[in-house]
Amino acid sequence: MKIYSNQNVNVEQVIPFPDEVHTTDQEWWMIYDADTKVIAIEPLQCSGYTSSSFTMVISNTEEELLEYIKQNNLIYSVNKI
Amino acid sequence: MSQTIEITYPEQIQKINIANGTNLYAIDLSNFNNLVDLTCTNTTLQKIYGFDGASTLISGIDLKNNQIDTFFNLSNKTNLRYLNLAQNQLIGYIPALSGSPLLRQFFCSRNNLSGPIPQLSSLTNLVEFKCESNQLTGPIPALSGLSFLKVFLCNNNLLTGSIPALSATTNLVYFYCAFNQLTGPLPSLSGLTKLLVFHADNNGFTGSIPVLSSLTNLVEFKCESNQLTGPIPALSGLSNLSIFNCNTNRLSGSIPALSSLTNLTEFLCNTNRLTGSIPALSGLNNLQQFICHTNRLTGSIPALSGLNNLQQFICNVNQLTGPIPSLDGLNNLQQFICSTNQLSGSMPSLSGLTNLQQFICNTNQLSGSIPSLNSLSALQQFICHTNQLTGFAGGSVSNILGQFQAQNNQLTSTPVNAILAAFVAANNTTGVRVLNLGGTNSAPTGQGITDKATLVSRGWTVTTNLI
Repeated sequence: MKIYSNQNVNVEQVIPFPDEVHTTDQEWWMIYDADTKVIAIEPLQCSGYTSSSFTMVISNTEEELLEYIKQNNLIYSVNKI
Repeated sequence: MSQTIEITYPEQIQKINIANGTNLYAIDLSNFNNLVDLTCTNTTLQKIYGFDGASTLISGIDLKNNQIDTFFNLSNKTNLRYLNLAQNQLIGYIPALSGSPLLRQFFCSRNNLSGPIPQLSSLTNLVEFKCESNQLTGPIPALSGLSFLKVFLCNNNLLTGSIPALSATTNLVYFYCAFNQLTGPLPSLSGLTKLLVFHADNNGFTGSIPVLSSLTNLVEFKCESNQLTGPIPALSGLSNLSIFNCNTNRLSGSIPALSSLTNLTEFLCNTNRLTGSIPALSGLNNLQQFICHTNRLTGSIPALSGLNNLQQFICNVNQLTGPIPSLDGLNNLQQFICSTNQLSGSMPSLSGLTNLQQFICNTNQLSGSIPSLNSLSALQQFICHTNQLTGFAGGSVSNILGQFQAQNNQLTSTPVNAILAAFVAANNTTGVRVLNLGGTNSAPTGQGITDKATLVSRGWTVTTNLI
């Protein structure tokens, strides 16, 4: 399955088990473990194709991802600096 | 099963010493008219009966670590010199101590006491006063007449107001008032030449850090998490200083010279408004932690060679320029974090840093190759994204390295493929594993594409570009 994000969409895309999901350098995205709620990749802007056994969330703004983290009680890694 | 032990001639007893009793409930001190010393520690003792009528000769009471819940009246215990009620279950107020003018040591730490600290100004013989870890409120009382006072501990309470003048407590050695709600300026510490430890962290203090230059015996100075402003004072004469922690304040100005502080182990001033350059650290052979992140520091990172005990060097989120210095020989280094600066030049060799756990230098202007990570058996995080890196020195990676973020560099397909191959070979199959080689890097090719799929099948989260 390949899901391509749409820069014009303002709401988050939540993609379990992303398989080569494309992001542009304008989009914000993050990865978290839906079972433990631990964030594996904190919100970042980075173009590329991402695959993971976790859940990917894509948005147009960092703020939306931070709100998503808050609403879903996600946990920052203990190694956060 | 409760038992009663009766003393036939209590008026003849001068000392009672009980320790480690498991079935003790109460002691009745009625008729112990000549009792001088009462020691009962580490028992299940809950009650003291007849204390008001007990000997006025009593000079020492050690009831540490029992289950006593009620403070007793001390008003007629005029000979009392030592009272230890620490680690009980005391509730209510500390009684007036003015009736015991000979009191030298008073300990009531780790109870559930509330209300104010009583007036101490008449206790001119007081040497040690410890009341930490209660729920005491109100101000710290005046200490100005207590010229013998060596130890004053009132940390972990709910105290308000400011620290009283300390200038007359010239024998003061330990002063702890951390974790309260104290406000106002820190008092002058000039003349307290015997002071070893001053902890005033986690309060609401304002104003500047007092002059410290005369405190030649000072070992620990902790004022973190306050609202202190102004510069860090000169530290150059403090040859015994081991810990200086003023992080999370509003300090400005530059970091003073540290080169003469040969006993310094921790220098923590992160999250302030410090400017200027990091001073020379050469010769600080005991330094374990240098943490000044989130300031406005400029200039280059000083030489770190010879700092054989250095464990943490954390200066991210500043405006540092120039190269990362050599880390050769820093065998105890665990964390090197200098992300979000303006560092340039090539990355240093990490060879031999067998204790290194985190190396984070993202968001700089570093160029050249990612160094070899061979034999870095403790490395868990390597983050160098958002630089101008073009290559990878090659070699293997640790099987506990679970975070490798090198996106937004200028890595060509060859180093991207080599990095993917190294992680496949390491076969790390536990914990959160992230490998990011996307952004402005080139896409993997050939075996690199297969290696990406292999890593994903093993539970890794992998980002790359596609051809």
